[in-house]
Amino acid sequence: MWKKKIRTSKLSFLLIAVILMVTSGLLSTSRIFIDNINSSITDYYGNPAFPDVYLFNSSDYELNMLEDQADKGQLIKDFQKYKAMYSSMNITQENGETFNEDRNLIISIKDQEKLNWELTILEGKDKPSPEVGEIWISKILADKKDLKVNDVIKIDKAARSQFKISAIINDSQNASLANPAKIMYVNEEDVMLFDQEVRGGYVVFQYGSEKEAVMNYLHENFTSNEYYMEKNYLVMNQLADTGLVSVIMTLAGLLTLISGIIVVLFTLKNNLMKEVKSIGTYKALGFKGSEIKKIYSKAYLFVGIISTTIGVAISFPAAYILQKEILKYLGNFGYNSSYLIIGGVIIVLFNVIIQLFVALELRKINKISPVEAILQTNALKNGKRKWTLYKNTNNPIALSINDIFKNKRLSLNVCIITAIYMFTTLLFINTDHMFAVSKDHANIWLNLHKTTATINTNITSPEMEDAIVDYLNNDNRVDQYGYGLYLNAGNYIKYDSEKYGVLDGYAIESFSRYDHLGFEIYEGRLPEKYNEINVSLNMLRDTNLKIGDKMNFKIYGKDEEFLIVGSFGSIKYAGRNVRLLNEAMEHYNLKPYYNTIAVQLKNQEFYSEFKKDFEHHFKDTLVQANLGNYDELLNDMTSMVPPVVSTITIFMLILSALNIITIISIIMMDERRNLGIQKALGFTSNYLKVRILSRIAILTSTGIAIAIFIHNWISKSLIELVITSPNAIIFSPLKSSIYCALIFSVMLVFAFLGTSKVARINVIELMEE
Amino acid sequence: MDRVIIKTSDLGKSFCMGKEKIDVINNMNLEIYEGDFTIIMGSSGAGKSTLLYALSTMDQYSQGKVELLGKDITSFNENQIANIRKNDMAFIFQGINLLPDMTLFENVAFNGYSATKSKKSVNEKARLLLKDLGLEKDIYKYPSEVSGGQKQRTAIARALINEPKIIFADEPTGALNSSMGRVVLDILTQLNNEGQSIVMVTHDLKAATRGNRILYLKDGRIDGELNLDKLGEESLKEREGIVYKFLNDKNW
Repeated sequence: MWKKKIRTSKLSFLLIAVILMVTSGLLSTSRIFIDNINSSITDYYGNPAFPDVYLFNSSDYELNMLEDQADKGQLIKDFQKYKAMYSSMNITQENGETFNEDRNLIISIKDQEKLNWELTILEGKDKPSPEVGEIWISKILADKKDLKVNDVIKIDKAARSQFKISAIINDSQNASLANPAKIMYVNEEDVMLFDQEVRGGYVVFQYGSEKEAVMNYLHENFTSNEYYMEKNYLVMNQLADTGLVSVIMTLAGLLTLISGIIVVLFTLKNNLMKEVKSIGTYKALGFKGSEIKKIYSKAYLFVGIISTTIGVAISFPAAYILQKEILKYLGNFGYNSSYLIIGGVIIVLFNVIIQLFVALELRKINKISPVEAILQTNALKNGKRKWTLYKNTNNPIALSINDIFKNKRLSLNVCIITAIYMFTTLLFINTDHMFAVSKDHANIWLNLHKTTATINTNITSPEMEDAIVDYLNNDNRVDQYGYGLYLNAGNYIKYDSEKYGVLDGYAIESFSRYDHLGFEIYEGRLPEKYNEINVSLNMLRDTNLKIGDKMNFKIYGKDEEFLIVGSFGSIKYAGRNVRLLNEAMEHYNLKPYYNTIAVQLKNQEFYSEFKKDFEHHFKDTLVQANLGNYDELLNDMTSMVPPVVSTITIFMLILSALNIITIISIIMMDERRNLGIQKALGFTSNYLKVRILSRIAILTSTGIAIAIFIHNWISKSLIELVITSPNAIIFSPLKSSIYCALIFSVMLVFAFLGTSKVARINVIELMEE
Repeated sequence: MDRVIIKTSDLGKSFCMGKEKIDVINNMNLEIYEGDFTIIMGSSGAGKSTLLYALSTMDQYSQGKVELLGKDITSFNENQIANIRKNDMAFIFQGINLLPDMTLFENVAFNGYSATKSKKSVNEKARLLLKDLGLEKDIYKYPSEVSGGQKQRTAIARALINEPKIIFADEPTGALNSSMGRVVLDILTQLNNEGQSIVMVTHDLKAATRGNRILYLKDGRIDGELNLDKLGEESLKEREGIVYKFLNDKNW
């Protein structure tokens, strides 16, 4: 008999099935994706052979000290050392195009099998190492620059020597888009081709004792590690790539679950209410309450299991494709048992919820006698007054407003569901927009300058510093400039982990000045004196400090106090950054190699000439427009978000349309008799359609208005939980308006299509009922 | 000669039951006159309701034509039909069919509002009609709060709000007990006496005596016709006898 129930209420069951399918599919995709991404990354980097620290240093003395420590085997262990080159380099492709990845790390290897980290050759011949004249590049770089195996590149810092790309690889230490360094591998014999000043040593090792002790040793004995990476940074970078997508998927899954359950329960309640007469008939025929319940439970169980199983089944390839795409630079992670476990849990969860609700609804039927059930109509119960706003009118729009108040449950459903779908969509659309324009706000995202030119160079002596300052002071094309050290100022002025707690990662920057160079400030002001600093919001939270507090740093092992005068947002190094002035370096007699010069030209048109002149005047410098490669870095990091957001937006659109179809069919079923009476009284189908459509239009626009209100109220705060650059959270009122209008139109179109049944309502059928 | 307000020419209506075609109305030629209380009777399945629906625009017919108030409604579109339903005629259902979410007053006035009438006048008229029909105290009640008779009287008031030229009634007492039914019939009789044209389908002998013209249908054709004077002061009993004899002759 339960099969017959499904056949007789095909449309209702179909709608429930489709909503269940889409909702369970989206939830399952998001859960499987998040679970697998996190576990894949953690498992991968859980490899006990992987080094804890990777660093490049050009000082033989310091590297030898480290090697001695490794030989002692107490502080560090599993030490490996390779000759390597680290610098900004111009790389020219066969077609003559030159690109510059300003952090190129080229490591010479003998046998890839013996490396403590993992290389996987994706394209090219598998062999122990590149042969002389060959180079292995990562898939990240290959994809980015469209490089292929057998392409030949020229590297300026190797006296423009040619290297043939003999393999494209995945590299465990270079799998994240968030890592600005591009790592390549060459044969040991080719090291001598490179300029002396870019050569050095690349070492990897594991902690032989507490991490703290190793860190202290490095901070106290090493003046400069040009490149420094820890295993937990690699994990952090990898999670940074996927974290945004994971958060979006979680939010989408959660909101879809809530809205899906509301829609399904509402539809289900309506269906069961219509079954009261049938239930009364069954009772009159001698069916027991439990037997009647079984009929409906089985029908909903069948539809629930089939639809959620289809939804979950669709989610498997969807989650797999997403996972594969996002982890493509790490490795190939296939299907695993978690797919089945998560899918199974979701199928059970949805069906338990539905069965519970069916049981709850059917419980009410126990109290109704067969006669009451059979005689029950949708007429008002005695004494239950319905408030109407417009009296004495048959204007369809006025009556549609009355209908809204008369059918509060239905109206509430339309408003709530529209609001949830719209809010979700607005959140995602604006998140997408925020990433789309992020390139223009890389200074805010990554705590950087924003000027017309960026010069990458190592200022290796006071004379060079004076020469550059003189040059820039005397160049009348230059409006403002500043120079400093990004990331590595912490090697000199050290974060006090004993006092503020150990952090997974942080970056300390030093600059000659911060004003007029586009550095963003969130609260307070920029540093103006040697003992003033700005601290990022995330770091303030982690260290429990605030503007006006003093923060201690270790300089030559001694505590020095700095006053926090301002805060800023940043996502760099998990949002933990400090800004201080080069004056502080001078004050404490520290002599770092400043590596970046930010130049604001009086006119953008001066850029080409300026670049040419500067690069001619100062050898081994690279002048890039605006933020140079930092723009691309941010773009790379956020490139995974738009496709995911677009997919979710389409899902939301489908769900919104499905909800409207459900609502319209409920209205058509509930009000069929009333519509027939009105037709018999001489009201046209168009009049009745206008009445229904006005109701949908008013409710939908109310839902959209609520969504806009909630969006304006909490979306920024929600995103701030993930994006620690509040000023980078930029929404687009235009895109929001266009999408709201689009959703409104789509809903009305579906509602219009749904009301086409009005014309087919036959007055005679109504009389014969 | 009274003015013809409904005229059918070769009217036919058939249904398909599986592969079999059943003619419910066969080439019917009929005239209904202004001011008459026309009763359509016949045994079950004779086609009375089908004929009423065809005459009243409520259903389409398969062949022939119907002229309602001088207009051939055969080719009317939905708007023209809606216009006739709203302004020229009214239909009283056996199932009453009041709108459940409106009060009795709203049910009556709702159909009266139009661009050409003031709301005030429609409201006054609705109140007056409900008062005349003995519903003065119940006008703000919902249909679910009143008896079947009160609902049907409300339906009559609703039928009268636009001063229709003709009222169609399909078994208007079918869902009522005898005393309620009598009240409703009294109202219809009084309306007819005041000049209102009424076409009523019934299978109730007592209801049929209220008419002045009885059409007897058999197998989709008019099998007989009984013309009476309009119901006046004479005894209903005597009139019942005449109608009974007529129907008896038809093997009703």
